Amino acid sequence: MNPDTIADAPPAIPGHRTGRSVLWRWVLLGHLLLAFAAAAEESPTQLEYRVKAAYLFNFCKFINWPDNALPTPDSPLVIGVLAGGDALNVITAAMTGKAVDQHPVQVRSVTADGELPACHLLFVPRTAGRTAEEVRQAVGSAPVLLVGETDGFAERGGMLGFVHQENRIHFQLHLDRTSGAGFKVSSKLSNVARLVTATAKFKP
Amino acid sequence: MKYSVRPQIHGLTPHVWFGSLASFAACTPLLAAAPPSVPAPARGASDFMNLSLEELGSVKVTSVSKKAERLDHAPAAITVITSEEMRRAGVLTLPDALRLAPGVQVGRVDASQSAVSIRGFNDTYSQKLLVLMDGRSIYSQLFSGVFWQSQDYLLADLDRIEVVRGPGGTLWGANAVNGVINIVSKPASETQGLLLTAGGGTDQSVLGGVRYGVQLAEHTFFRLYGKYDSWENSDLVGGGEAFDARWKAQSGFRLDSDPSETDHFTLQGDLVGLQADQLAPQITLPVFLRPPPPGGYNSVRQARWDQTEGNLLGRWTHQFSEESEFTLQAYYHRSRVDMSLLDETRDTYDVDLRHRFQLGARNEIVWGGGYRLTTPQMTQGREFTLSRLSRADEIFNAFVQDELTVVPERLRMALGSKIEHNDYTGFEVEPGARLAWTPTERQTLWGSVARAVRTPSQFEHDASGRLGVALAPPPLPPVQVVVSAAGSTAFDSEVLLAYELGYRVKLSELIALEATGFLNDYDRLRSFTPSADLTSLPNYAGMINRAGNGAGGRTYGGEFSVTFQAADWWRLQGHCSVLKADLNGPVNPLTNLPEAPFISAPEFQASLRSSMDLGRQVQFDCWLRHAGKLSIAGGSFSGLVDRGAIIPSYVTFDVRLAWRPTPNLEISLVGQNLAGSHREFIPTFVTASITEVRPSVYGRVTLSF
Repeated sequence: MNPDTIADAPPAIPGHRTGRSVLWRWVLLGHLLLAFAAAAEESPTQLEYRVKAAYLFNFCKFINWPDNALPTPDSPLVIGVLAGGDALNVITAAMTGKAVDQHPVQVRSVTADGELPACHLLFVPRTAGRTAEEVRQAVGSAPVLLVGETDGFAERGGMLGFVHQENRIHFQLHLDRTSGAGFKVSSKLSNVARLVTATAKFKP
Repeated sequence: MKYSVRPQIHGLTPHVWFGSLASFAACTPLLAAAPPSVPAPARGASDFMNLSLEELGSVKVTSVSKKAERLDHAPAAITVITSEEMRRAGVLTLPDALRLAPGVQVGRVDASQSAVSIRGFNDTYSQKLLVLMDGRSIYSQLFSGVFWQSQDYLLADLDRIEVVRGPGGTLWGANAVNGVINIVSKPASETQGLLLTAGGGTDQSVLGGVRYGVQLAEHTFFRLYGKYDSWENSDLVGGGEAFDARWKAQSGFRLDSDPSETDHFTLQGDLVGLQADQLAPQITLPVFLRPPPPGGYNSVRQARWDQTEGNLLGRWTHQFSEESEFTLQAYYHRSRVDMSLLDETRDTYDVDLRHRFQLGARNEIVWGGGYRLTTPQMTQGREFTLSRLSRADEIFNAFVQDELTVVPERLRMALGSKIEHNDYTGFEVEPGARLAWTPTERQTLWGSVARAVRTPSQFEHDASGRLGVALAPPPLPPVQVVVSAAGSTAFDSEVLLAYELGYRVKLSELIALEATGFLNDYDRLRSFTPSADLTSLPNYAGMINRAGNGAGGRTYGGEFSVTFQAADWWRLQGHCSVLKADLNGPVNPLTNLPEAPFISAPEFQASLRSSMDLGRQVQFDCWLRHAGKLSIAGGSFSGLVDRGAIIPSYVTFDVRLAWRPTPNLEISLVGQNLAGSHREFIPTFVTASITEVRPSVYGRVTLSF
């Protein structure tokens, strides 16, 4: 019963094809030009870690380590970055050639727990996947300044923690824990910091 | 609540970003009216190291992971219907829920079928609309459309429905011509505990559902649900009871797991069984000099629509870093439909991957691809036959989109395209460009240009069949004419080039407005060209309407919506839409007149909803709706008689009263279509019973533990 005796459907009405592909070509060209112009800029993550690197440098400037931590006037100040990542590259670049009170700043990637006590400042990026408590236990009683960026880092075992608020970076300082570990914190730092204590409830 | 405007195969809001308009000159410093939000000095490597602590605290950094883009800034005509709105509106089916969005035309056909479209060309099978449930396409290639009757979720498990008006071809692919509808269910972690719901009413004999959600491990959640509904016969236009009662039983599960901070897995599946009564056409072929049978050449018989479906879907999302996210999704779907026309068993296998990452400071790139294999097996039907009873249709697709921040937080543009290869028309390309300007936090102005295609359905390529018998009118000799329709393998994709403009503003904390305008330029629209077939004389003459791509034209119009929080306890939401059409079609050789396709949608539609909280336990909602008159093909297909039918305009309203004596018990009473019976739609290809929508009432009790 298939009525196949009739000729096929009439051809489609031709559209203004040429005009439209010209439109798309200009749009593509314009977009590419702008995209390339913008591509030279850095990514948001890089910008964020450059700001945090500057903060780390300031922490080193305004905190004194206990006497035996830096035995000679020019022994290196080691900043360890736990599990490397984006943060390591940015911090290394920022600290190139920098020194704090004659101590040259050295940046290292640390991964094993055994390496942690050898740092003076340990930065725990969020990609490291370690909690403040874990890191604190791994460090033990060695004079390591613990800095992190995950939520509540300073409250839950760390000493300094970065907070993001309305697209700006601030930091929290747990004064008791930091002084208790033998560090002397300059008032220049503690006045700008957001002070937290262990009893502060974790805010989601 | 933040809405993620991101194109996703698992159904977060489509992030419909497309590039610039041709005047890329506009992107020069002429637009420097908006100050950039990054610090003015050039940022060399040592700059920050010299800043003081206070200065460091004022450096602005952009948010690293833009997970949830605010809906307010989305450069698309997008409406999100929340679960709460659906509950308060008292809707029981997905098509009814879609009436809550502007620009959507919904016409109930009978107790199981509805015609749903966006911006025109409405019909039972929602051709120009892509519909997804949790990322799984429910668009059937058989008729090019959606079997709405089998698509459902437990209302309490539904998170939201995202309705995007306008072409979504660039990110979603073919058939997202006039819009994309994304139905999203809640994750298992949000549906824990036991929920029971039961009810009934004048139209629905039973409404029942149960769901149990449990936490299996620290980061793993699970839910299981079951649902049963049955609906009674509707009324026929002109009196009498229709033959369209139906029942549906459904069950399913969902499992969500976050084994690590960077990984997320979902596994979900559903099983649906439904049965609906229907009257099927039965055509007796005339024989010369033999009188017609007692019921005439066109009669109907009682038949049944039987459908079972099952699906299993898995999805894995992995975050490589803050700026790079990858999603892999795969699903299997099997359906068996036994309808009066024919029987179909179809298996669909689909795998999709998508990667979104940041390139530099200002570019966000999304790219991906997918593969789908669908293998329908058909049996020959009664009035329709198919030239191919089994197929294995493959679709390959790839897409890429770049979103560029021209002026941070002020001007963004995106450009992208999708390329598909299908077994009907070969390669199809769907590019799109979009621009969004946010002059202040509270306003967004956006514009877009995009191309989308609607690929042919199986029926349009392979099917042919009889529609009815009619006596030839004078001046032709009094011979019986058997009218039929036939597809053609030369039938090509329909094409749309759409231009849209939109404006969204939050006038105050209490009032928000949105307006959109569009111009749709269609090409190669389906047209039917009749021709005579005299080989069966003297028994009858044949008139075959063959499908072709001879129609085209423009539609234009707009939608407007407003939300007003009149008081703490009273919220008003209104929307209206305008649609005008200027379509053309080929000349009918039998009448020598051009025949344009029907727009099948009213010129004007409006809706106003009022939600009131009376105290802490009682909720009262009213919903007033209006749809203008509608002219549609409506089954009068022959070309020999007057084309089309007219459905008059109507105004109707729904009312819902709900009482929550305790937080976990809700009792509700809903009256629907209370202004009186009215007709809403008649499909193009005949349905034997033309029903009307009548006033109805139902009550429901929901208990949760």
